[in-house]
Amino acid sequence: MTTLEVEALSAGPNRQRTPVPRPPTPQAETVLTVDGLTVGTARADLVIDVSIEVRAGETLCLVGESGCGKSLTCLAAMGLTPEPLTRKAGQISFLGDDLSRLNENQLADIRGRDMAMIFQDAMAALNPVRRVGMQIAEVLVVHRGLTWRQAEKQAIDLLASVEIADPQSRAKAYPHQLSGGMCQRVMIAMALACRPKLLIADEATTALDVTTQAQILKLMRELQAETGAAMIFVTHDLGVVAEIADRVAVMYSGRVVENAVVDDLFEGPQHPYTRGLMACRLHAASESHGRIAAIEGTVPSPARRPEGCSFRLRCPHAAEQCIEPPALRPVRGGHWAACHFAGDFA
Amino acid sequence: MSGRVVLQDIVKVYRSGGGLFRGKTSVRAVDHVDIMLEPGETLGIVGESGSGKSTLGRIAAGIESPTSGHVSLDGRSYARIGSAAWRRERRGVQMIFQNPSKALDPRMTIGAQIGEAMQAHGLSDMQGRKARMEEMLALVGLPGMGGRYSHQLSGGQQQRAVIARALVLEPRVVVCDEAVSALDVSVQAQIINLLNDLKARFGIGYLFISHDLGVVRHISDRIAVMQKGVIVETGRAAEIFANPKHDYTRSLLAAVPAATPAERRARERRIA
Ligand SMILES: Nc1ncnc2c1ncn2[C@@H]1O[C@H](COP(=O)(O)OP(=O)(O)OP(=O)(O)O)[C@@H](O)[C@H]1O
Ligand SMILES: Nc1ncnc2c1ncn2[C@@H]1O[C@H](COP(=O)(O)OP(=O)(O)OP(=O)(O)O)[C@@H](O)[C@H]1O
Ligand code: SF4
Ligand SMILES: [Mg+2]
Ligand SMILES: [Mg+2]
Repeated sequence: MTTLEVEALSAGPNRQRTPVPRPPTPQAETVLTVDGLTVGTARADLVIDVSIEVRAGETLCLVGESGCGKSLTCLAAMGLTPEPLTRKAGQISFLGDDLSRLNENQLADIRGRDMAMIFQDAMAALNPVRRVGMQIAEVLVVHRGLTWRQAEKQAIDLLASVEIADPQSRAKAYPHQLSGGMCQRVMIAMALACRPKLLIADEATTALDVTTQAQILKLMRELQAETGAAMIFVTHDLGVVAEIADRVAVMYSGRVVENAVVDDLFEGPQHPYTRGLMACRLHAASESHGRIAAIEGTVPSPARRPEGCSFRLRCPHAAEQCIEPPALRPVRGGHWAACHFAGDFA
Repeated sequence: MSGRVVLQDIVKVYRSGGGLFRGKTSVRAVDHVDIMLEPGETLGIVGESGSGKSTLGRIAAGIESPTSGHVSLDGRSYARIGSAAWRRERRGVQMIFQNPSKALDPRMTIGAQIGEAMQAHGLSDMQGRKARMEEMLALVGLPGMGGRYSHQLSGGQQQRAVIARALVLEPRVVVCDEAVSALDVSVQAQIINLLNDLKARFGIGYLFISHDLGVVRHISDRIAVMQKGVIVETGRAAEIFANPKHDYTRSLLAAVPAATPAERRARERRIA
């Protein structure tokens, strides 16, 4: 099969979609379903046939190699696919509504009020010429109908809740007058302000020391328990995953290659990429010297993925059959992996 | 040039506000800090968000001047910011910024930015620069991506482009401000191995600011712990982790996230 045919298979209208992995006993209401999402340019697919789901009160962590499509998946879920990229296939439904049926006004209404995203680059996402307190207050005025007076007061409370010392005077600061971690916390406060039903956090705590991070994760979990929000957490920190995830989806080169309940993923990862990731971790609790184990090689460029399994050229278990693309399939109750040998790893 | 950076009694105060009827506010970001980075040494800096780490890093890199105090490289005081001597000096001391998207020029490809940095410091001819640029991009795991603009890159790819641009100048000292914080653990491992290789081969010294205590423990020779503008504890890396003396250091080590969900539940049971 040529690369073109592989692409046609993966993105064409008649291809078979990967079913959405679901927990064995679904209970709560489904908040977001991404079904067979493909995003890309005319020349290459950057996100391929991604299917994920989050339910009320559930937290899904998205992990994977830098550049594998985590942020683009989140942006698409918010209906924010950046030009010139397009959504080439797939459906996104939010609380039962198909996002593509909503017009820009309806989308803008939902964003911020019902779904909120904390962007990977907080300092760039904030308005550089407005005081941060006003930026938080504005969200409250627009989406919750508060008066400016009430909103400004509540903005200060929100800043205090994300552990910003001296919130009264810090509310008057412009983003460039705050540290990296303070900007992240302002973004978090803005996202929490409306008590959204879906919260997407893209590397939202990378600039926080572990003490502050622990407080913020606690705050988010408390709010989630109160409001039943669904959360998607993009993070490369497997410690954060261990702290907050119910389920984990692992992405590699545009695809979800493993999807499992968090305990299953840590106890018995079934995709060689996930197994490689677990082996590269550095722990604060143990001494380490010399070169760190890394997965050899680099992720293939989206325009030139190898035929078959896209992890093939780096995989220590690669075999002859890996020239055929492995489907994402259930290994055991609620644990899915896209590897011909999934299920064989102890 | 060997690369010893000495910061003596550094204070940085930011003043803001000060409209006619509005009270001025001031923030003491760094409050009487002394640090020394030996040639070829990695000094890890950890601490509270907002405690002055990036400010201290910018001062050590010579791109911001302290309110008071003295900075020198190999015994020579830093030149006045903006002067010709200062521009020459910058090749030896590079900074990898916490916010990669702000550090990159949106109107130029990353390859052109790396080439421009080399040209500004008179490094090799055009052909040599192109070869060097491609080699550097491959080393940070972005092979053949020199033609991309920053908005065509993921967060972690932008961060690696900034790393390539800093390292291509073969500096003596690099201030790394959360330089690997946007990278998954495998790519992070590759970059840390690269930094350590360059240190072993060329004796580069690093001021390594990070919140990831696993990474800091692995990469650092010594560690300084900051809180509210002050260094509360310094020591050999192994010693700080084995035997933290200051209360703040202890609370930091106690807050490290669990390694596995099972470990988290065990901790939650202990607390309950
Ligand atoms: N406008 C664009 N044109 C071409 N490629 C793009 C464009 N925008 C993003 N990409 C590519 O799409 C891929 C996915 O990007 P995305 O930002 O989703 O990655 P990510 O998984 O969030 O990575 P990171 O962990 O580094 O943030 C990357 O390889 C990136 O280079
Ligand atoms: N240009 C500026 N104007 C005013 N205040 C500033 C400026 N830059 C930094 N500050 C303040 O200085 C203090 C230290 O900020 P700095 O960015 O050095 O912290 P940090 O330790 O790097 O934090 P983080 O871990 O969150 O990045 C903060 O209170 C911040 O608000
Ligand atoms: S399908 Fe083959 S190449 Fe791909 S991950 Fe599994 S063993 Fe490795
Ligand atoms: Mg990203
Ligand atoms: Mg900082």
